[in-house]
Amino acid sequence: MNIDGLRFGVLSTLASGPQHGYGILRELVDGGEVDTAPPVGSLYRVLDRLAEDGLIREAGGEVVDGRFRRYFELTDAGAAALADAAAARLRSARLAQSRLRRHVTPPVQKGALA
Amino acid sequence: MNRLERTYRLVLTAYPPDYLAEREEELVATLLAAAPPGASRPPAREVAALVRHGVEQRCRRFGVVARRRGLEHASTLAIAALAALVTLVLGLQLSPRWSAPYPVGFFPFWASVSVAAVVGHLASRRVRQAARGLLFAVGIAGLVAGPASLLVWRSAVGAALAFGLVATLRPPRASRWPALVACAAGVAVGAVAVHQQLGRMWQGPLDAREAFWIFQGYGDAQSWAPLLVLVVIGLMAAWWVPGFGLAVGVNALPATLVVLALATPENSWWEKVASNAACVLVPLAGVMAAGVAVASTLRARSLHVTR
Repeated sequence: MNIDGLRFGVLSTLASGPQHGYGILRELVDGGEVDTAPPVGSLYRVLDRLAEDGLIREAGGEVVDGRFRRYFELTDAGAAALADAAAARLRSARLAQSRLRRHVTPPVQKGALA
Repeated sequence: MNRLERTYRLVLTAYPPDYLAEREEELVATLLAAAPPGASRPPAREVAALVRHGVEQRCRRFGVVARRRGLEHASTLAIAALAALVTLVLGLQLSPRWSAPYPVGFFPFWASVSVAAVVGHLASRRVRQAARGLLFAVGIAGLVAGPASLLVWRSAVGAALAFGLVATLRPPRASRWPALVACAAGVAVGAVAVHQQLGRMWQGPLDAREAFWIFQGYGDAQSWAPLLVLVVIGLMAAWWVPGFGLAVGVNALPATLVVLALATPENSWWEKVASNAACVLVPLAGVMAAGVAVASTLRARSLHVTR
């Protein structure tokens, strides 16, 4: 199961509890997961696919200010997939950090081509 | 209802009605909440995302489920290539000056390969596996049983194998824009070639001997069309390949040969050389592109980065 980019962010957001579409967008930005909010069309595309893959499911809705809000929540399979993806990201991040610690910037030689 | 909301509802007509019946109010609420303050028009990025998602949902109503990045484009290209081929062959068939015999299996074969390839990319996992199996079977059967001298057969077999390979692969994300430009260029080359060849065809009547040699693959429309389809297929494979530049380079050489051959006077020695070289190079390019794809997929898997 490929968990990258927006999929990861959405699953991660839902790990803290059921949330509606706009709430997910807000948390993605507020939590620093993304710099700018993704388009709503892209968000719902990802939500549809995650639901289809059984990683999230709908969890009822409510009407706020005359507008309908549908909530989504993480399934057990979704939590497991997120845990795997997070572990994989952690591994590669740690690897990058350990490599960076050993990294020495080579001195620039005078007259060398850029 | 303000102007922004009206615009959003207009854009949402990209979605199928039953999806809207269930989701329209929710989408509009989210869109309005997410809109930049004071905006009276939706951002272009949002419109693009909505249209894409909406069209995808409409496709789904026909049982087509686009599962991976870039598949929509790939299937569009496959359909475009098939349409170009069918247009060309039907055009020749209807022309009173064209009397070359066709092998009985030509149309059904190409149609089934193309349909299986598109289905192999788009459908659910089980259907995809079936389509892949079919393509490999067709490819291997063609290698064993086909008349090896016929370029049409060689190209079709190559295409079936290449499609099968591409459908089997699950490479990680590739860079998009260069791939898109290259694919567009491949389609443009195909269109120019079809135009050129049709023009050439109509210049004079063909006798049976000429038609036979053309069908054997010596430098005319019957042979170029499958070759061009193969170039497009190679570029489609390149779409998913992270080492994209290499794959494009591999495909650029045969594409250049095709263009050069078409640009030179008919039956010049150069056209024959280019024709024969392209016969070898195009299938080779397909195989190499597939090889690059396999290698980069294996590498990406061993890095555990994308999963």
